[in-house]
Amino acid sequence: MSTQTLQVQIKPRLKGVQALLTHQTVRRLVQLAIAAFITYITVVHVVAGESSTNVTASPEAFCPFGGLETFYQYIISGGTFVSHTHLSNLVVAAAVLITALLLRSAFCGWICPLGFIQDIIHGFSAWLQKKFVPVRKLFRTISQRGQPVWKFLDKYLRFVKYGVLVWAVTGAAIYGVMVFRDYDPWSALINISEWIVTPGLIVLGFTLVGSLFVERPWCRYACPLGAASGLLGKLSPVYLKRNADACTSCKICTKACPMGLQVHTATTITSVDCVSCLECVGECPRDGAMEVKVGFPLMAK
Amino acid sequence: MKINPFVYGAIVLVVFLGVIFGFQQAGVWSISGKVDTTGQAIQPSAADVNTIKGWMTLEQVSTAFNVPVADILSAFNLPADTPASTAMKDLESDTFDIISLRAWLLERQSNP
Repeated sequence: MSTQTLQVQIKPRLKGVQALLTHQTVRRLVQLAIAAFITYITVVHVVAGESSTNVTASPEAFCPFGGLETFYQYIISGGTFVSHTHLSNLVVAAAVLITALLLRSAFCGWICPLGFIQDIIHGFSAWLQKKFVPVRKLFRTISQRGQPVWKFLDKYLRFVKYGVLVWAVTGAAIYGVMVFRDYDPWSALINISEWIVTPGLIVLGFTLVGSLFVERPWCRYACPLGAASGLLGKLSPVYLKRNADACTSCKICTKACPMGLQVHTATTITSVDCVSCLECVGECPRDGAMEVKVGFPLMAK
Repeated sequence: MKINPFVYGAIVLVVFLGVIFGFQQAGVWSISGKVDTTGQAIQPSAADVNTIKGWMTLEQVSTAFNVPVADILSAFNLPADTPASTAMKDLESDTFDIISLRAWLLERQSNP
């Protein structure tokens, strides 16, 4: 391959406003808008109070996982819900699952506010490390010492989310209450104004602190909605393709992946853990080396 | 077939929000137990235990089903000094949930 051909394949470096006009900026704006909407709903609901005659939506009414938890109860009882859930939960859950069926776990990468919060914290951690040398050294030391153990644990911890999914959904079906709610960091966050210490608040603390060191720890290891979405996304016709001919295995895509996937060694990225954020596509310096494709479901062709 | 990342993002939003708006337009949407899908206020009714919702207070349920608050509290081993203004969903514990309350009320209605 000639040097001239290689130069043609390198994406032009964007500057100024042009550098901001990327799909990643759009993704961040979408995440920000959704987070702002949920914050607004939460504040309005808290200010109005439970006893208000005005009907205000609880932020829990928009939680898609609540829809999965209440689904069984809704079907067998002919229309009643487990506490804290409404018809809106079922609708948002349907929206998440249909999106997964068509476009993989795009909800996780483009919409989920808890994923966005973890992204923000990890971005803050990266900024701290860039700005302050002692912080960078501290993080590097922790990373180097913990890496062998973490690499081993990471492989197995990724299965925890399937256990959480089964426990939460079957628990709600058997007992008629959301057994997962007290352990749910999202529930703890949107109900933070109640000032109640629940196991979920502790999980939230671990998630937020863990995000300083690992990108999206909740999504990687414990999110039951991500587990359901990832499994259903396997049936999607959309996949990411790494074109080996254009790729130089620079590993930029792997470093950019918030879910810690080994993108640079894969031909097609169809992992259940992929959140379809397209960071790898955006960061890849080679034109055509990383692409979003549509093909036949399950075949990635 | 290749998809532009901008187009992919746009499709994600159209599909996700489109499903929600579609259900809303079809009348399949409710964000609170205080109203039904047509926006009508839901009140506890002795004729149907399923009208009991999490936002309702002990007092409202007690009045609608003509059951003393103390009886409800003792049946589910809840503290006797629980205020009657407490919402059902705030009482949920190992010994109490709305489904159990509905079943208990139903049984009480059939065996007065």
